[in-house]
Amino acid sequence: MFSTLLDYYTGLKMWENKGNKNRKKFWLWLSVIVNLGFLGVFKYYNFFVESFSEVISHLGFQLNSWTLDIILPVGISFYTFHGLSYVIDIYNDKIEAERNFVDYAVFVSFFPLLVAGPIERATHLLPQIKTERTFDYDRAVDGLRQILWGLCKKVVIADQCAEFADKIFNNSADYEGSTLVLGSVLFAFQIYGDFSGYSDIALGTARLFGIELLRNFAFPYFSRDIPEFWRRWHISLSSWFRDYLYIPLGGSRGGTWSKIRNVLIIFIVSGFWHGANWTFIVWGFLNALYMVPSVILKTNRTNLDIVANGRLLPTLREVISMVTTFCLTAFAWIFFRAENLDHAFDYIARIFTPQLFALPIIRPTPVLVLVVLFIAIEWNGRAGNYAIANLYTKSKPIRWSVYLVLFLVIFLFQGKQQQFIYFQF
Amino acid sequence: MGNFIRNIILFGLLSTSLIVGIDRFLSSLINQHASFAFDPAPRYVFFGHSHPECAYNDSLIQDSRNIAESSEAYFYTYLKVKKVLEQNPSVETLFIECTNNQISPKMNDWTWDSRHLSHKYTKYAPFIHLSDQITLLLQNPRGFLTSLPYSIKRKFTTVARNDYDFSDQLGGYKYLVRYKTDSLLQNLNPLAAKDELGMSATDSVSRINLNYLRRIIEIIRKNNKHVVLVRTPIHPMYEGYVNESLYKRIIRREFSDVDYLDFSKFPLQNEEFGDLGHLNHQGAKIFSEWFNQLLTDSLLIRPEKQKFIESRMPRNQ
Repeated sequence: MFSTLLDYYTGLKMWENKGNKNRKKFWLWLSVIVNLGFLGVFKYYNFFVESFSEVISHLGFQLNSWTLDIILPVGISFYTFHGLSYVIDIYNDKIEAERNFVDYAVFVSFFPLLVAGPIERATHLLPQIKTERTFDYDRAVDGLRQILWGLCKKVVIADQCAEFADKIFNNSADYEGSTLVLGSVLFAFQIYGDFSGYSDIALGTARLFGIELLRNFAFPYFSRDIPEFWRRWHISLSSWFRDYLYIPLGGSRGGTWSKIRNVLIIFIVSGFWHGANWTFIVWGFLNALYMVPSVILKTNRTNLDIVANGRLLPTLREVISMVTTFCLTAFAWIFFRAENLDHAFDYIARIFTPQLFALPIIRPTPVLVLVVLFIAIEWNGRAGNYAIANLYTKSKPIRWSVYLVLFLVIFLFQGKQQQFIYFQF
Repeated sequence: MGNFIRNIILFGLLSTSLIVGIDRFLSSLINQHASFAFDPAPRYVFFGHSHPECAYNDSLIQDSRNIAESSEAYFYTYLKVKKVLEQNPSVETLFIECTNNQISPKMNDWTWDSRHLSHKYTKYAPFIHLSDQITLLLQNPRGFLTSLPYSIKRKFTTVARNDYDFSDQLGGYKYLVRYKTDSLLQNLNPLAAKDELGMSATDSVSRINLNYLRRIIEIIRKNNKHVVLVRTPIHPMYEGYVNESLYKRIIRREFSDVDYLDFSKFPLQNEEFGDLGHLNHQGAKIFSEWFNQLLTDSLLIRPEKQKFIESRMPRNQ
């Protein structure tokens, strides 16, 4: 509530002082510092204190670190970024300050996106909130369809994969080689099913209320290189960092070194945004390293279209590109999933043993069959907003049969209940 | 909007009907083919929870079969009794365990709490009557709906594998190795009775468990078989004894028409118990051999059965 009130008030103040740049700057910085201050205290304070005391202890000094025993407010990373985008956009004269507090509060706390995004922009969501909405049958049906698909991704794919990914990651010292590779692949599908499933449910729910939220995922595992992956994964966060951090830092305007520096900064900050743990920072750094070759070779905007557009199957070259990109991403997910850096490095070291070329000890055949079916459906629907978005073009009996089959699949093949991964952020 | 709501209701009805239809179809297939016939054909069958499961070593008791299973409420025992009677004409006597914790409120949990539903309901779902399914649904909607998909999947697996032999899935003698009686006696926990019997252990009962015990008795009698309620040996410090007076009252008032054999005082050493409620394999061997001798000595046709038992108790001879 305080954060909402603060951003609402500073927004009004900046608008009042439109002609006075210094005053505007004051209110902007007040909002930025307080918002990031909250985030810092709730999410990062303990991390900094513990890291500092660890460094000090390595130097031979002992420090009684004073950590906080507080619960992280749900969705703090998301609504902080909502508020920041709002005040920065007002500062940059992209939007007017919102005078109606209720409308502004709805923008910040609209329930489908409150806990795990997508991270909305005031320029996109506020006008929709202020416009009178009427019931649109086709839009509502499309919303329900997206919810159904999101549920399927979360409950069937993510939760089924989670059971085995958890088993492998939590007992990684007992496994080697291919079993650990399987664990990281399953986690890759778990996090995709979990987060994109949540986003689909959020987008579908918002559509029932006549509101279009920003698209968050665009079939990222069909990306042909890492820059394409990052244009398709957690799009609302990537574009937030692009607009509010990468471009103000100079974006791609400077020389190669400054571009590399900017890429490193946004990926490390993005990693840190996910959580106060070195594993997330290394995950961000690794993804930045993946990006560097395309920055140097200026190939970061090579693959802007849909892969194999208009064709049923990809070419061999496209398959190799997609598999390589997936492998790099799945490798980076090991850091994202690991408890700490020691765990991550030990996990990776255990992969490269002779067991790498043997069959995995854990063979979750039914789950792998589900994953293959899931990939096939996603591939078939990759031109749409979500995998089954184009179903509306089919006849009613076909549509309803698909809905019923999906419902049955959700009912019968649901995994053990798992919390959404991104709720912790 | 009206069209939208109509279609949602229609989809809800269609999907529910589809699930119920698949469930019923699989259940009826399983019911048609399910086999509960024991080989070799027994004369005596033991039912109940973990106490008889650990106490009756059926390899030492002639012509017997132990199909007791841990954490089994009478709701599920009833289904087993029904099926065993249908397909095992050789059975003459059915021993139904009836001990202190089986009258306690804890048995409600054993019937319908989520943990037990996920195990027992999914196993016996094909044989549960629709009205009983509704009882479970009403008592624990969330647990029931969570277990339902697993039960359908299990039914589907049964049909797909063409494996309808349930005779080896009903339970059986458990060879208990553990021995922790002494350590339990050294650290007697005042809350152990609540763990064993549930809340309000001394003054309230599980009505559903007692009702199903009555239904078990009725169906056995309807099939002209002999039903005997038994209390297997338990340690003198058994936590469940806290409701002993209530237990005795229930047996006297509600089940006086049934043969009742009380072996609870059967003398055994601490090391012959797994814990205060269960015999380990050593205790089970001693008790089962002795019990076999009682059967050979025509216990079941004697008029004063309990007196006969007491007269034959090992250290009372």
